[in-house]
Amino acid sequence: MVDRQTLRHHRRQPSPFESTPFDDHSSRTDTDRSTSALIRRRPWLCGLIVCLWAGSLLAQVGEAPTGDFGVERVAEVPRVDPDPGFEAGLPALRAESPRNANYRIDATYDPTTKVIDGSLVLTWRNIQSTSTAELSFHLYWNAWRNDQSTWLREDWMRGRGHWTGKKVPDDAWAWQQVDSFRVGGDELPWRYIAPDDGNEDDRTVFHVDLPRAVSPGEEIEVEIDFRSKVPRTFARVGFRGDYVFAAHWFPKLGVFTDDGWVTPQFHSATEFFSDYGRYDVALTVPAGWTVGATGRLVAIEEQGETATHRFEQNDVHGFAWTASPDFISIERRFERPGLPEVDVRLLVQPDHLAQADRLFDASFAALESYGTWYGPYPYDYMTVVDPAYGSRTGGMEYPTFYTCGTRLSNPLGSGSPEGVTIHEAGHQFWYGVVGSNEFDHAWIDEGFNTFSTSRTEWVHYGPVYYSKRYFDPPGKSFGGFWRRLFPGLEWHAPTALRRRGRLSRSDSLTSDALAVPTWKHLPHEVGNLSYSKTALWLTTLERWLGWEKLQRGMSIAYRRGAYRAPTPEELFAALEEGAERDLDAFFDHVYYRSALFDYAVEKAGSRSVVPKGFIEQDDGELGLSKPDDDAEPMYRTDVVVRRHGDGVFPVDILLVYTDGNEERVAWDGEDRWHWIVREGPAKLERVVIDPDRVLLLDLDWRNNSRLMKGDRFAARAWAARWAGWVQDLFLTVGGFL
Amino acid sequence: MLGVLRAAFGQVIARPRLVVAVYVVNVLLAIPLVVAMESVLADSIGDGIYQESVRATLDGAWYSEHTGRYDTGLGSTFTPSSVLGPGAMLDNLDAWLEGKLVAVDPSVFGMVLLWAFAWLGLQGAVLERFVHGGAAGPSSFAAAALRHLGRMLQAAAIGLLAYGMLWSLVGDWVKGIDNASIDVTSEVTMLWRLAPAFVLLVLGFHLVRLVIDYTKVAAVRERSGFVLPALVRALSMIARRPLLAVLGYLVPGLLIAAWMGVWLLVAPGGASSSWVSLILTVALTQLFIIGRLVLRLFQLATAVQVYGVAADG
Repeated sequence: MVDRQTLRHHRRQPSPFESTPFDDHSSRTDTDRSTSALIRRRPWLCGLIVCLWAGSLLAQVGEAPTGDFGVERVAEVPRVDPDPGFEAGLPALRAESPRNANYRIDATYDPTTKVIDGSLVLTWRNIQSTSTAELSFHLYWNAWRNDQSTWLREDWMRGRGHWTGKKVPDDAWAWQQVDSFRVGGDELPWRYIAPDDGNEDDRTVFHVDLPRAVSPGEEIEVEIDFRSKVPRTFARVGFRGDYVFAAHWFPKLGVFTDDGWVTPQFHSATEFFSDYGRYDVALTVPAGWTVGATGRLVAIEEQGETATHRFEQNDVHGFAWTASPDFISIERRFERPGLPEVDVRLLVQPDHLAQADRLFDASFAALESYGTWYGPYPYDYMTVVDPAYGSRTGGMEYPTFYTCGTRLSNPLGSGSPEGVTIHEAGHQFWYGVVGSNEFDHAWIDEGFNTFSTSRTEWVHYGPVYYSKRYFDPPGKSFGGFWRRLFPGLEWHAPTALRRRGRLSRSDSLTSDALAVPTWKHLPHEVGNLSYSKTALWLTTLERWLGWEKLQRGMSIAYRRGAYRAPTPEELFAALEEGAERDLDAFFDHVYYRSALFDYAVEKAGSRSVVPKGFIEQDDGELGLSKPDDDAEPMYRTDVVVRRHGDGVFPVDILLVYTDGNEERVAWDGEDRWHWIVREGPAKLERVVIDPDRVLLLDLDWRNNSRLMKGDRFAARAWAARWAGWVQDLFLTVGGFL
Repeated sequence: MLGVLRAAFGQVIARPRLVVAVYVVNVLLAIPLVVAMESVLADSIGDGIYQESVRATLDGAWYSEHTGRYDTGLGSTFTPSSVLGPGAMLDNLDAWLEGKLVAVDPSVFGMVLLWAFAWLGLQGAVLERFVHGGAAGPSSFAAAALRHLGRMLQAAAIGLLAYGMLWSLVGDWVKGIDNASIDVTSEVTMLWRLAPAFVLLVLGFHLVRLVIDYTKVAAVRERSGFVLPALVRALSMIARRPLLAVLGYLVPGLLIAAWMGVWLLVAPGGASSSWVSLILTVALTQLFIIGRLVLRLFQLATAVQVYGVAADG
């Protein structure tokens, strides 16, 4: 069962449609009556059920972990509130972005052909110190034009296989066409390029030579007519029935840097990179449809069978939208002392209306935690989308706009939909406000945000329990229609511990260093490196330096990185500033190299200091030693620890003796092995390397400790419990025979 | 009908040694796997402090390492749901529903196959006892099991063929529903569309099992070498007395379902931190297993009674 403290966060007000106390009373009377009758007629059956209940309760007595294992099993619940005066000395969040890529877009979506017909006016200002006589644009949806694109080739390598082995419906493919490209009213030619892999079949980037160079500080206006065919979902973009979700749906300018244009092709495992600007977008869809998008809805104009929805937003680097006749729109205001107010709009599916409170709560939790820890959310608006069933568009972030995703059955405590909602809301900070070149550094927004998501979940909801989905028919998995919670296993704590398993069972840690541009990573390892490894090294920093210092560093990074894409080096400098120490060696291990960490106990034991064998006697002659029965026993304890990996990290070594005394030995962790010798009146009871579990990147915690008198109770107990599964399997198989 | 049920229940209650025999075989065949799993877990837990944390609860940190270490083989069958609460029952029911019981890990498959043969033999001996009153002693029980094994195998083969066709049919149907639902945007709508497939699967499964149960009874009653004539006679009996045949199968079936429902509610869900809670948990699990066995034997006894009433008038 979920403990009461956890439930406190989940409890909701009863709905007016729920039964009244009077109803409760009458039903209880009926139940009492039928129970009495059952007891009279079938006493043996009732006795059996009572025995089962009583046994079940008894079996759970004392199951809560009570022992002191010599380690901190989970960190203390972190605080939301920072220290008083936390903001002192921190840089202020800049007031606005450079606003150098501003779009005015007018587009119409035809739900019959699934085509968006649009025109845009882009005003771009060169904010670099060099001139450029060319422009470079993304046409992301051409990644799904046919199966020869770089995106789909890489997707196959990732093993995700969109539509693999299936007949692809004709309307599943997508395309983007530029019908006209004008500068100053003159039509300009353009051509496709493939700067990353030279794939001539890839059509996700196009290049335009300008008639004259754009100087630093100079502005240029570009007009583009375009059409985009919406796919059946690829990469969380697409349509299903009347539901449509469109992101990166228009020709999108790359980013001009002092090194030239950064306009990578669309890759399967990486995301996006754009300049900040102002978006003014008018979307025309069938009348009666609800539209949600980046920014604030400023007007709806009906024109017979269609309606135009106009959205505006400053200081964002993209614009996504969704439309459906089924959405239920609910608005609430986020209000917390010390934080700016945010109007939050939820577009929820009718199936999930009962979960609206949970989706708001999770979004507010992110706004509160991230806002307090790192800095305020500077936009006053946010739209949360609960995507259509089966659309595969959930769990994605766009500026001031994100998709969560839930199912009919999602019990409280399972972490869903709270986890994904917090994560995508959190991206409004690490991706939205602090941008990043996600082609090269996907780990920045994903890693920083994954770390913060776990922390926020812990603060607001407490433990998340293991759960499993059941109830699928043969022939096709629908993901299980019924989710059951297993409160016997706290599945992840603030440390995102479960992510350790993902790393240890893959070769992510050796596949690529984080410093390698993400789009060059082995595609199926991108998630492990960007999300898991980064979250784990950030948690390691938290445990090593303390939360206050890490928080300060991340807050500096957030404030300095707002409305631009800071480099990894800038982020490391901010973390060092917060930590007030040099962390170069740490970043060298976790970022520049693929270092593996694995500390282990090699040997440990105690023996009497009284020598056995020949010793010099009082008369100076050699003689066999004899135990002195009157003397206090003294023991020599030897502990040998090893560093198996090439990663170096300072660790504590905890020695616990049989008399209860403890000693912590600090080891810089540099030598390949280290020998500790102690003498004392008690024997060694246990030795634990890194007892506080600071180094979450240690691959194998099993070898981090040694009990001098261990036993196999745990293995036997769980094997005995597992016996029930085998016996039940026999019976279930027997049902067919 | 009540008389049939009372008589069937009496047959099971009056022969507790039958229950013991079936249960003992179930346990004996599970033990080698449990011993092997204990070794796997001991290795996975190691000789450090995981011994204590895993003893107190299913430590999430340990489990994440365990899954990394044992992503295939026997160790991979140790999952939180397989050891917590009613998860074992739910896992197996889910595998049953999805038709994935045949995909059980190879490390377990051999023993499952052995159980399948043992269970078929046991059913033959149990039916011999219910039908003819024979197979009273251990040796004659074993002899009856061997004697009827061929018949039971034939009946099982017919049943497996039918189940295979049923699962394949429903699987294709579900794929068709899915393809036709490519634009469905509501989970509730999807569930309604799939509901007939679920119903067909459950009804089809029990219909096949009902026929096979009566076929086994007919085969044991008449000691026929080949089961096909017994199948014909069972079908004929069902056609003559459909209500009796269905109720005779359904009532014990509902009791089995109710028993599993009770287990869903009361199965101890937590971890084991003491011998007392461990013993109680294991004891309750065994009580559940025994209950299922008793009720299945009751179902077979009811089939014998129903067949007797229908055949003997």
